[in-house]
Amino acid sequence: MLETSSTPNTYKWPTEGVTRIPSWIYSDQEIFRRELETFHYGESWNYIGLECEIPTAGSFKRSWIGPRCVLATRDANGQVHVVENRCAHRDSQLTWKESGQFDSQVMICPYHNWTYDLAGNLKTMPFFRGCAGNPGMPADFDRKKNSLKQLRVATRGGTIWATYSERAPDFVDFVGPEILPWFDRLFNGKPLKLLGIARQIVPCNWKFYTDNTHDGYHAALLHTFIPKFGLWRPDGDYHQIPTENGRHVLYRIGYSKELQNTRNEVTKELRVLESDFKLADPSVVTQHKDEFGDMHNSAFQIFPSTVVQQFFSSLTVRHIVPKSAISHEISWNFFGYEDDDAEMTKARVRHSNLVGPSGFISAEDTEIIAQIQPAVNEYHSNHVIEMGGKGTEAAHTMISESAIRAFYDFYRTEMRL
Amino acid sequence: MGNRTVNKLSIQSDPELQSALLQFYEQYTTCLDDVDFDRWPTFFTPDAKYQITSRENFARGLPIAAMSCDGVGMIKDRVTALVKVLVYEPRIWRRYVSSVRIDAIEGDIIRSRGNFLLFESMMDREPQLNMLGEYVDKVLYRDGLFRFKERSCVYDNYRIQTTLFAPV
Repeated sequence: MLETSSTPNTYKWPTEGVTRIPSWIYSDQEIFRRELETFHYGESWNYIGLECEIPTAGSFKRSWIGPRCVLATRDANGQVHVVENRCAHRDSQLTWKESGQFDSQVMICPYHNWTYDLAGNLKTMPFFRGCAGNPGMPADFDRKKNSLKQLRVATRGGTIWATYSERAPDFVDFVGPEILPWFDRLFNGKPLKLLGIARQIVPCNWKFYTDNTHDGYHAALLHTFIPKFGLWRPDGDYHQIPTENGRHVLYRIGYSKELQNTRNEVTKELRVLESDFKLADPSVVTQHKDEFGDMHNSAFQIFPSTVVQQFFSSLTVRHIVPKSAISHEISWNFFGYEDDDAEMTKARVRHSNLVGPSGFISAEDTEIIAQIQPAVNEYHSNHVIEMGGKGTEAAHTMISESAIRAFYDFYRTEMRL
Repeated sequence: MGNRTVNKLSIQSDPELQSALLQFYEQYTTCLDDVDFDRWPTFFTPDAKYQITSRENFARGLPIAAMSCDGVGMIKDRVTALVKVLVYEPRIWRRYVSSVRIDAIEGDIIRSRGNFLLFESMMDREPQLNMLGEYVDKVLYRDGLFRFKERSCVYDNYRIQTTLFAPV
């Protein structure tokens, strides 16, 4: 940790480059707004939900792009729309529900009953053309100009994404060719089934969370459950690969039952290993089925909104939702496939104990980052990010911060810092 | 579990049964408050199901929960991990249970519910209500003892505060 004399008002990145992160990016209000404009409301595709959550005509799901509330709807033709949950009249919310069904293929604002179709186009309102001597709306009132904000939508493999930008590349190009096969591995065209959503609210800057998901370095050190049960190991088949110039990151981890139980000079470096803790029920750390036929666990971050992961049988989309400079929400959207049998569903639920807001290998992430926020609110310092060297290339070890450096290379370019 | 024996499980509004059940619910929460984690699994049957889940998931019949234990082995592992493995800021948890009510009796199974509050007092800041909701239970009454065969802690919170470490 190096103290710095530069103040956030100058917004000057440390001269060393990406081997340093200035801590004001985690507390500054203006940086927070600029990030939303640059990423979430800019040329990025944001995760909205799963198609199986809006199965019927008129069904809707509420979701979030940063602090902005949006609705995903399905119309009578089966098409998916994403609109802001914000009436064009007085900014009222159209619905207060997490999910449900709109009647008669319209959305009606509770305040003055302005009525929109499921694509967000304003159709009419009570007294539009007047009545009993009241003239109604003036003749030059243009319904097209007073419709809901409608976003550009992409769907793939049962997932729904939206962007504010007409200039953003197609979704497949945004994801990029390195991650796309791992995306299609999970979202492979088999109908999905939502298994449940678990949400956390975390009192710190959202980038601590995205940094944490770029940080293989901490995994076996903070999450002592991991080395104890050989879930990942510093000498395992582990790859952390920045993609799209550091925008996203891909993890692929080969799984070996034999290595899971091996002790050697690498495991000697780990603080907690030979304690007397044995699981009464080891099925939580045991693979159920090599369902994808490749003996791998995998995760990837599609910046800025998601981490998609498969760990054993647990499949989940983590939706990262910044709320302010000092708070963010994470929702864990667990899914399976329609053709899962009862044993597979049980395994997915069992393995979900490893992850999520209470997960054996994830619980400490939000705990550790939440308690950093008071320090970055108070102090301005430069975080030293040099584990594994100074480069931004892919790493084939957990013990590297190269993916963090690669991300901040991308971040600095996009944010012009 | 329960200091008083109840001879008959046939009347839902039996005040003796009601009182003994409330005592059982309170013994459960004070066991956790006392951090008597070795004793916590003894409140459950060997095949017990225990989960801490959101109202959102529970109302929709979705199986995912923040904590999901199938069998007392997984219940034991939750507290062993809490004591021996997991890394978290030290704090005091304190639980309140009230409004314990019997919905039905089916043989030796009591379907019952109660309200819960979970307060969290951190070491460097003030106590906060961390979680609140409803216990939805199937309690086995056999040989004078109550044990949970199924316990769902259904939280009303939209979101968990930071991380959920504590059993409820």
